[in-house]
Amino acid sequence: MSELSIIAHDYALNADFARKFNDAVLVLKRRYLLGRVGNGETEDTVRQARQDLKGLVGSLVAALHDEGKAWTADQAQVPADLLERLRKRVKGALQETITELRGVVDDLEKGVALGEPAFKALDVVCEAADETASAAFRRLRRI
Amino acid sequence: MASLLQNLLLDLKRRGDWILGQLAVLDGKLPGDFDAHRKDAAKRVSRTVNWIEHTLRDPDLANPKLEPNFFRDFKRASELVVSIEDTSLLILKRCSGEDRFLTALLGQVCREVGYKDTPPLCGALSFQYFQALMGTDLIMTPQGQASELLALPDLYHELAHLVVYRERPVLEVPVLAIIHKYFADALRKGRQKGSGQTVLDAIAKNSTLWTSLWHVEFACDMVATYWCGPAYGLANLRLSATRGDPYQDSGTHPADDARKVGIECVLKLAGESAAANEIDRMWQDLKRLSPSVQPGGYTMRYPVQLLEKVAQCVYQECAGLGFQLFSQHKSGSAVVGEAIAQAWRAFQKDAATFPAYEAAAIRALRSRLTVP
Repeated sequence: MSELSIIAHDYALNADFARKFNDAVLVLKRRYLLGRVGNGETEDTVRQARQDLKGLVGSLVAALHDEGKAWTADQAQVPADLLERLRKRVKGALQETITELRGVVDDLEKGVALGEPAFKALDVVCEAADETASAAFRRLRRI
Repeated sequence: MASLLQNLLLDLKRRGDWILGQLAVLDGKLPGDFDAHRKDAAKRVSRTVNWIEHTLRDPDLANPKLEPNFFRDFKRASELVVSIEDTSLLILKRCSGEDRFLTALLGQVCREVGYKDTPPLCGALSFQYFQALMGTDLIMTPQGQASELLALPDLYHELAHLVVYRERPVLEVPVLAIIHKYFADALRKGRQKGSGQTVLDAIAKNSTLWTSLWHVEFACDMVATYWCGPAYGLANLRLSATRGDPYQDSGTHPADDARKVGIECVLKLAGESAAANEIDRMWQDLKRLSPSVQPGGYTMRYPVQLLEKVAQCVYQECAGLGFQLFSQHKSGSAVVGEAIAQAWRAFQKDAATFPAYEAAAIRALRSRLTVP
């Protein structure tokens, strides 16, 4: 009834997406940028992170590139706030961002190692998702 | 020297440990439903403290390539700890008579409607009307809520918020699909007809409003109507009467007038057209008293056809999820549902003598739910 319920809903969705995305990127950064697994992670953790990230980035690409195409349930994984923030953030470079993220999905699909450019693109999403979650939390707490 | 992030993690661990200590002090002192929530809160804070300890041992914590990612995880963990401190711990430590009654009442509502999860804790501590906090599984109500019946249907709306969030793939996503298709079709038809850019922009804006947050409010109203019946429509009218312009909307909430239409759609699907018409009659009376004028573009923003489609979807999904339709309870099984429906009948019959009726009905409910 009050605004807080809908903001709590919004925060929960944004925080969940931000956490899942960031956690998968963290595992893969350690594996491919530092060349090791660690702190309880295994190659299975890496495989799972690749799979999770492939789904999340794939949904994000579909949602960002929805012009004229039918909406699919898969896109619902991506919070609307995040899409808006990402679009504002990349502004004129939206097509390049979509192309880069699509490349990441391809790499994850093919099972190849991710490099610095892929993580640069993923970090943009991590940052935007973190900002939307933090903003929703601040709205929730009126701070 | 420890990094800033290490210090922040240690600080968060200290706060988490303090909450765990406070929750431990309450062990053995709370009624069953409160204690279940206490254990759940303790489990979540413990998990967070364990994650902090694990992260502090991570040899790559200070690595510049990973540190920003660890920092983001710290923020999510901090949000959880703060939320539990501000809400769960507050209600658990207070555990007032009002909170106990409302929690027992909400537990009974959960059983009546076929809610599958553990009933949320309920506290009469809100400073902003009713609110559902899915992160901590709580519902807050205004302070006087333990002493009144007419606004209780709003408790069903808040419970619906938890359901719409948890059952997102089967409740929210199909609703979103209907809305996206509706506005995509409207845009296509607009282009085919050669509509001006202003019209196309308005369709796009309406689509964004509906798909961002409005669909959740509409869906919660509809689930609440499925559970609570005409009383939900009446409570909505009562609330709307205190809120001013029924055509006003915001980024988070659609117009009360449109929400009323959504509620009526569900009542009609449930075979309660007479109740829907009666609520509409009262609504027209309310609008007679209000100087508000329907703004331009309103019917395009709130198409009845779309509301009907969304209502059909929500109605079907509620049935699919095994929820109990308000009109299908066995006689005497819906203790709270019947008390609310009877209260509204008593209020409509004689509002002047209603306070005495309400006080007696609440005493009976307290006794039935064995809350002292």
